[in-house]
This record gives sequence, C-alpha cells and structure tokens, in this order.
Amino acid sequence: MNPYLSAFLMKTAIFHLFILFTSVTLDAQKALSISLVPTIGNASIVLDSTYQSGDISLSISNLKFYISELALFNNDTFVASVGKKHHLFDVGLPISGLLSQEMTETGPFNNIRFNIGIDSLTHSAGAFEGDLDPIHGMYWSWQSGYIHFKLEGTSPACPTRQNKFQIHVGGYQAPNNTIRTITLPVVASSTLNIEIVLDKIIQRMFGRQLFQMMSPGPTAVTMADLFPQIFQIRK
Amino acid sequence: MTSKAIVLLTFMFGLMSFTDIKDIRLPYPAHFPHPTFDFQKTPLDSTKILLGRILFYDPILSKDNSISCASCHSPYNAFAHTDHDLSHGIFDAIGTRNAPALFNLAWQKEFMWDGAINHIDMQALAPISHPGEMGSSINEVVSTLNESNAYKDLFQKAFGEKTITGAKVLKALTQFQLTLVSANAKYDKVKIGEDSFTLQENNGYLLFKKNCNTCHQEPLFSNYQFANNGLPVDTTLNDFGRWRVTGQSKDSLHFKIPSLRNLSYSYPYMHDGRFKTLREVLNHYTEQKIPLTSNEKADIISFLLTLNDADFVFDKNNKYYKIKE
Repeated sequence: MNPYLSAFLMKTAIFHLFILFTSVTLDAQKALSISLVPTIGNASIVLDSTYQSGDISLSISNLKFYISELALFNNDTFVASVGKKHHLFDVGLPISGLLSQEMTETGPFNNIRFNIGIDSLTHSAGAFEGDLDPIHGMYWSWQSGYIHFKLEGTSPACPTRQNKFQIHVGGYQAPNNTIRTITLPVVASSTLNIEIVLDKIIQRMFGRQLFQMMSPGPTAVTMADLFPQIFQIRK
Repeated sequence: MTSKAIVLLTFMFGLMSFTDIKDIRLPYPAHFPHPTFDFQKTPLDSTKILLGRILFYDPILSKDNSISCASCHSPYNAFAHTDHDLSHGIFDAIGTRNAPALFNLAWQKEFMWDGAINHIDMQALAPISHPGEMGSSINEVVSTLNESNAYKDLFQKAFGEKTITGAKVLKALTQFQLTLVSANAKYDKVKIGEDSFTLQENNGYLLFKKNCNTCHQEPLFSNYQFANNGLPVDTTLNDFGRWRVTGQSKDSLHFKIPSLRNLSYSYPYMHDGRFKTLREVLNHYTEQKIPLTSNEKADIISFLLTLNDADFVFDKNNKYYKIKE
C-alpha cells in the first residue's frame, strides 16, 4: 500500500475513533437533562443576595433571557432539538433553569448549539402565548421587539438613582441585531450543566459605565457580542 | 333516502352553518388590493371580534379605569380624536402626537406615526403602557381581567380557554380592529359604477392623480410609507419621527403617510395635529412647490370630500358595546 495513503487512512481512523469516544451517545439512557446555572465570582445566583465580581460588590434583582432553538450537533450535523423552540430563563423561577428532552434513537453528538434571543421572523409575527407572551416583561412596548437578555440589580459602586443598573439587550434588525448563537463542545454525559458566567457582563458594565441600557443600538450590539463568551459547560 | 341519512345531513348542515357564523371573511370591494394581514394564518372569528370590541371600549385597560382605546379613537371620528391636536391620557396628560384615525388596518404593515410597531397585535402594548396614555401594563390588564367572571366567559367563548393571557387580549383587540374597513365612500361607489363625480369632483380627482397620488395612493389613499412632507419641527415637541426608530438621520422628520379617507371626521391634520382645515394643508403643499391655484385647491377639496365614508363612521357593528356583568 502507498505509504501516504495508509498514513491518511490511519489518521482518518484515529480521527473517527476520537469523535466516537468524545461524542455523547444517548441510545442507552434516551433522556437528556440540561441545567442553566448563572454565576458571579463562581457562586450560583439567588435573587437579592450580595455577590462579588472582582472588586465590585453587587446584588441581582432580575435575570431573564431567551434561549432558543437549542439543538445537539455532531460536528456540523444536526442530531436533535431539545425542549421548545423558545425558552425563557428566569432566575426567580428555578424550574425555568431545567430543560429535559426524551430522546429516541439519537445518534452521537459532540456539541450543543442555541441562540440567545429571538429570531427576526418570530419578532414580526404578532403575539404568542407561553414564554413569548408579552406579560413576562421581555417585550418593549414603545417599539416592537423582544428583550433578549435582561439583567437588573444594585451595586454601591453604581452612580445612578438608588444605585440601580438595568441592562436590557434587544434589537432584531440589522445592523443592530443582538441575537447570538452559542456553540459549546460537549463531553460524555446525559446531564449537561451550562454555566452563565456573568462576570464579563458586569466588568463591561462598570468598565464602560453602562448602567442603563433599554433600547436597540450599537451599545446593545457590543453587549450582545459578549454572549458567546459567558456560556460554558460546567465540569 | 332513509330517515337516518336525512338526520345525518341535517346535522352536518347544522355544523356548517355554525362554522359560518363563527368564521367571517373580511369584506372589501373588488377595487381594493389584497390585505397584507395574513388571514390564512389568523382567520377572523366573530366571538373574538366581539371580545375585541368590548375591550376596545372598556377603560379597564387604563391604570385608573378612566381611558379606553375609544377615548382617543372614537367611532364617530373615524376612530380618531377630532378637535384635539395631541392625544390625551390618564390624569389629563397630553401626549406628543395626534391620535390617528383607525381603518383599513388589514392593509398596513407598520403602525404608529413612526412605524415603531411591526405587527397590529403588538400595537396595543404602546398605549396601555405609556404613562401619558393608559399608564398601565399588559400584566396589570391580564390580572384585572382574570378577576372578572364575565370576561372569563367571553375569553372561554372566543379562545376555548378561561385563562386570560396577554397574547389573547392583544389578539382579540386585533380582530376587532381588522374589521374596521372603510370602503363605502362616494369615491368607492363611483368605482363600482353606482354613482358619479360632479364636474368639480372630477376635476379635483384629475388634479389629485397628478399631484398627490404617489404618496396618497388610491384606493387606500396612502402607500403607507414614511415621508418628510416639509413641515418644520415643532420646537415644543422636538419629534423627529422615524429617526428615533431606525437611528438613521435620513429618516429625520419622516412620518407615516396617512390615508385621506374620512378627513371631515378626523381633523385636525398632520402627526401633531397642527392644521385644523384642509385649506391649511393644501396651502402648506403649495408652499412646498406643488403648484395649485386657489380654484384648483377648491376642486381637490371637493374630491377629498368624496372620501368621507358615513356608512363606516356610523356602522352599528363598530360602536360602543358593553360587557354584560
């Protein structure tokens, strides 16, 4: 055999073995549960407790965001969807942090993908029930659009009225679209813990003195650009 | 035919007529274009229309139970607020824009003077939440309605569920507002061959087609785009219109082009209600280099008056309807 060819075949075989071993196979358990765990300074968040992010002390009164089109992939091949199309995470509602999905005949997968925010088609299609109902405080009334991500709280370091900060990230039309796709590599397990590390958002907020963000625009876009960096799989 | 078959057929016809009563097709004449609203996806339904109509006239939507949609959108003013330049709200608040007339909404894609709202369902959120209008919120509205057995019954009839949600409130309001079709003015009767213009009206129509029809396109009398018609900004309001929505300076002072139907019922005119008469409006346009003599202005006005639709304004199906407690 041509030595180059055999080396190539060997490499391919090793690559496939690698994929095989690093992929999560759900055929046995046929159920996947995902938990969403927001943290500040490595501590899980409970409403109205005090946290420390670097030298900033703060407390969170509200954290909500839309996680949509969550799906499992094997490399770039779609494997299965998880949960409903649009899911509202609300830190005040612990059950919203748990997503589970019965899996039938699911092949291996090695990464998980989802959007933070709501797609533009859904944005312009009128009122919806459930997690998309505008009663959740995640819809702007003065200008159409879902708030994709909302973080509110107080910090003695905030030079605002009652030391409050209100970060509402939204906008679905170019060039101010703030929907972001997150891809996370996954190691073998039927339970996935997705950690939302809020420290980056907090550092940005204080670094640029952005304590009130409530409309679509270039500032919201720079905040949304942080989204792919704040999600990670918790070991 | 056996008696069993007759019973079955009677039963089936009974079912069919029941469906007919619930589902309604939006009535509009042949000279109208196809509506932009997707009726395939969301068909009209008589129980939802009635619920929407009751909500439209109920001040329960406002914080202090004082203002309904109809407070600023009265049926007898083609659902505008005649004689008020700017909209009103709770605690005698005055808004920043003229309450626009509501009709032919099924042909519109963007709502409000600046097009900030992208779907008719979502429009009601703006006045409900605005502190200078109803000063409430959709959450408050939903919890107040959920305390009313009469409303629960109406929602049950309309949606098959007693639990009232924000989406259901909005969708019911949409259903009623979609039925507000103005298509029976003298102009429409001329179009379908049931009437004819006078000499002056016809001359006005020719002048209209030459000078006004690009923006105020017939038969809806608007292309529902946004334009700067040359009005200087009112420095007491500093409203730059669509600029705030798009963030692009080219949209400064762009406002939605309104329909010219029902003008006699819906004065004053312009986004801030600054003109009380059609003569003032036409004078503004001649200042904007549209050449019209005084006689030509009179002719155009006589044509514009053929767009008044009394059948729509006094339609008993659109007027006040109260919930029966």
